[in-house]
Amino acid sequence: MPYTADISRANPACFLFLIDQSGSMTQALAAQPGLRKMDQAADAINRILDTISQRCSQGMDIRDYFHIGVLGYSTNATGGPIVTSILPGTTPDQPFLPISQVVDVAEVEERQVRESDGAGGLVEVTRRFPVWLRPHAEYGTPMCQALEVAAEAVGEWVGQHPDSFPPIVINVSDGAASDGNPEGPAQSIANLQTSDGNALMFNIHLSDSGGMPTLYPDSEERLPPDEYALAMFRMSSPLPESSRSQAASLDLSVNENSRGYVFNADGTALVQFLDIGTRAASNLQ
Amino acid sequence: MPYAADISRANPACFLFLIIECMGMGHDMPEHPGRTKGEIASDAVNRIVDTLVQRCSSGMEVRDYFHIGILGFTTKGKLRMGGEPEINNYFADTTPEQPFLPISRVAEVAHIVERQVRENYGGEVVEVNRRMPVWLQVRARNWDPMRGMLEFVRRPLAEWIGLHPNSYPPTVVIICDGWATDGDPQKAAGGVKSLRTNDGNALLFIVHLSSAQTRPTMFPAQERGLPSLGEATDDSKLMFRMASALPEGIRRQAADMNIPVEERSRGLILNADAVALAQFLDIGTRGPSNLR
Repeated sequence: MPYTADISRANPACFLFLIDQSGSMTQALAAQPGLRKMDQAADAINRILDTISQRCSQGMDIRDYFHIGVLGYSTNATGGPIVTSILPGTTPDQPFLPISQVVDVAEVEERQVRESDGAGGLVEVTRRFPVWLRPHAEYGTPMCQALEVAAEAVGEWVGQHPDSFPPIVINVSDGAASDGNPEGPAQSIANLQTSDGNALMFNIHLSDSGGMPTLYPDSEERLPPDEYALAMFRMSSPLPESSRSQAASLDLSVNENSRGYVFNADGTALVQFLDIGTRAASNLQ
Repeated sequence: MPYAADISRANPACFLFLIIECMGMGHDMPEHPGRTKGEIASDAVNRIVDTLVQRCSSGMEVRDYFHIGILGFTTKGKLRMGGEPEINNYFADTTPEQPFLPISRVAEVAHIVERQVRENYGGEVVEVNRRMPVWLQVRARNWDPMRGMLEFVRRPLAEWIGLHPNSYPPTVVIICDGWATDGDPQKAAGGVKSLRTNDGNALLFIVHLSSAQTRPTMFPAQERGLPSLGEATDDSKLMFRMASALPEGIRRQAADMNIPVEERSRGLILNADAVALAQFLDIGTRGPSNLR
């Protein structure tokens, strides 16, 4: 059975997050003034990296169950693709850090947040937040280029970890690729495999048009007749069993054909998607 | 310019808090496990009314700059659709037909309870016991007569305006957790918003409390992109249309508190948690601020 490998320090799992940093990410998500898609994406990625590090914590020790990479993609003014590796000390060719080092390279920010005072009022509290990804957005969406870079890096990682849980690539974007059809490059990621199965490619589309998100569709019929939405469906892997049970525990209806794909997502769907997607690899030993 | 009237004891402003006390208010707030929407709403309204008392206090004296009403609405019957409103008024010496009390009397009719409150002392957050006034204790049963509620409150508001034609217009704040079960409330909302003093139209603000672990949408400026509330087709868009645009004075205060607003922002919050609710009530009641 694929996707059942135990995850250990000898056989870690890996997550590679691809973040659309095109100009349209400056628009508001779910009509909230002052809250842009790029803010939500950065927030959600910072949160999930923090959550993953907690999943690996044993007392003061952070065990290297996971290798993590974060790639941002945009273009310059003339359309030239820019793919950057976000974690300090990494490159697009070698974007991964073991989770203990991911924690070490975080910038910890103190923020004043307003919390409930427990009796209908507010209290200002200082909280510490680890930050890896900062909001950034300019120009185009070279998704094909980003997927090609990801395929190279993941291919190398698979060579070094042939018996690991297969790599999970999670792509967060808000629109169509500006450099061609991304299905081919996505397929070359999904073709990579370890002895435990093929790499998993998950996609989420952030919406500024509102309405209900389409969560984990199990067929093209569940989606609007939109070429972009359908292409993203085809390039998304079915959810493995561990992700499906996490989804079911959140009262989401999923089955064996459900794909790791959300169309028309708001901020809540994004946070949930990252949780469900990263729960695929959960047999920590 | 509307919404600029000086507030004085001769020309007070008025706030009417309308709480939908349907059974959903008995459910826990996802962001605050163990606390129901009704408890969170009660705390927030009691706190803002106390804040309004303090805004009118000068030494030991409470000056009657504001008139306040708090009414709760549920349906008489258990049947989901239709249902006459059943009304709870939360101030002694008032009736649903005449719900307003001058704020000095509001202070006098409070029950006082001891509560644990988190406060920040020089950067450290500590729990302290405080004596706090209570007026509202939300009950949670039956359904959501938002349409009947808005039809009902038109008359008491019109009477108040008749007595105070030069005042800052009434601010009506609805706290609900979903869409009306007694028919479309839009026309009734229009009826409330059409009431006016010489300083402008009555303001209708709407708070929708969250049933999901969702980020709040505060003061949206466009229908497009609003999260669906999952109850009726376009429920969030219809609420957007019902809510008044924020007057400039309120927008300025929001900006001062680092709350993002745009010129066309409405007095609406969707999927509020306790923090967003408290912020919204604080900002939403800062319209009448020229106290003389």
